[in-house]
Amino acid sequence: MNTFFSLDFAASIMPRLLFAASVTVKLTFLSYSIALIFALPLALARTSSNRYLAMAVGSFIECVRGTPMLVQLFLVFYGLPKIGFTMQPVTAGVLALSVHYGCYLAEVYRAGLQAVHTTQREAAWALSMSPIDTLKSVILPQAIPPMIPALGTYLIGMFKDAALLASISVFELLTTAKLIGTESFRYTEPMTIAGLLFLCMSLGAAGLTRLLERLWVIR
Amino acid sequence: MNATAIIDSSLSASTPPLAPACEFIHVCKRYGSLTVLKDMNLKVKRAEKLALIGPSGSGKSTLLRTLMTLETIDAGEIKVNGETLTHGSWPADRQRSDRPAARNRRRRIGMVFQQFNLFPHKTAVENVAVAPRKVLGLSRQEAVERAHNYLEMVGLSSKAEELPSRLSGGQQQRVAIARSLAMQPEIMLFDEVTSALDPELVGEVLGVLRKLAEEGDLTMLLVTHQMEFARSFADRVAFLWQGQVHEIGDAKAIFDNPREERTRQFLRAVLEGR
Repeated sequence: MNTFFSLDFAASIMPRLLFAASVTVKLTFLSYSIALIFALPLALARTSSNRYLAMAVGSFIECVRGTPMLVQLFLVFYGLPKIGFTMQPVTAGVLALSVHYGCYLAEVYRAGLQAVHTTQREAAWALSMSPIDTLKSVILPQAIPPMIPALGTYLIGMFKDAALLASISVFELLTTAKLIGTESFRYTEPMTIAGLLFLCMSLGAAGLTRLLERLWVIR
Repeated sequence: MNATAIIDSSLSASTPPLAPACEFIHVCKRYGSLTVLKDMNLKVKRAEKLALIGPSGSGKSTLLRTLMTLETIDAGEIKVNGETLTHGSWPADRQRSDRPAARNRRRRIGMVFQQFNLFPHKTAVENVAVAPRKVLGLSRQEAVERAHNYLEMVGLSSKAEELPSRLSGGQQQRVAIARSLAMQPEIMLFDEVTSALDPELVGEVLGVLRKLAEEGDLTMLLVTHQMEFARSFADRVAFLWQGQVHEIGDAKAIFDNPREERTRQFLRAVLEGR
């Protein structure tokens, strides 16, 4: 009966898997933070009145959103060194994750920004507020709260997509689980635990999202 | 003083020659094939209270919006205090420039909108304080103090900490007026500021406008459908028709004795509808 799932074996591999999970969490939070920042200029450029800029950035976003992240990951990790940008697997992984998700988040931002009525911009204009003050004091505080659920969905998505980094040998959670499997010929335990750990991360992200939503509503 | 300023004959000899508060010179504005302002010429004297009346589509609101530089113009020139505010020959991005120099010119003008356009995430006092703080560089404390003064002026001291959603339409509009006044503009534009209000709330907003008019210095341009108010409030009334000033004159003269047939027709139609 213990051949399907051995608790002893599960306990023995737990420390390795927990450590790997912490790598996934760190990678995701780092990449997500970069994506959050990177997405803002993308969204602003795409809604810019400069048609060429808007079109160029729009095309970039569509290309990144429209191709598998795995393709981008390989291009970054194996392609960039050919033109002189050699990097660690972790760096390549963070770069690919943050650019890929930056493009999704840019679209979330764009929707949020466009949902703020133009009359709000007109009111700020009539008060002679600068574009940057208008953005900071008028537009963003109204645009961000409705964006939070979508931002949370992409955070959960990123935890799972971080597993793709296994393909360029970043030792995150899934790579480690697979490695334990090949070493011991036992896949059930490491994969079950890895799945549960991913679930915990996602539930954590969802909880965080709901907390942020509640905080903004109170404000 | 600008030597080329147009001397207004109605000013006494003892006052220095003053340029008009604002001036439209052959201004044209089109939306596609629709001409909204057609060779618009208008001079507004300093501290003058001018009411703009006319049928819908006559260009009243567009006139205010071009003066606030919310809209570009296709030809002509708009001057404020004798200085060019915007010019039809300028490209659109220069007319709608958000550079500091353009913002400084714009700062002389304030505008109150039909739909109030308060910032819904800010309390009344924050709505009023934000621009003085960000644009004029006041400290938080100075800006809040100023905001309280203007809220008091419009009779809303007790509502300072409320969000707009907790205020009635009339109260929201009074906050919006306070918000514009806090920037201490020389010219205030009021674009149908009572049209979105329930009838019983119109009076409180008009009361604020009347108080402002009595205080004197401010140049006020008011687009309105409230004819009785226009008559008692305005020094002059301009009747707009098809993108031009069709008739302009003393408030009493326009209402009691309009020269133009169009003006008469319009007034008859509006006053009968009461």
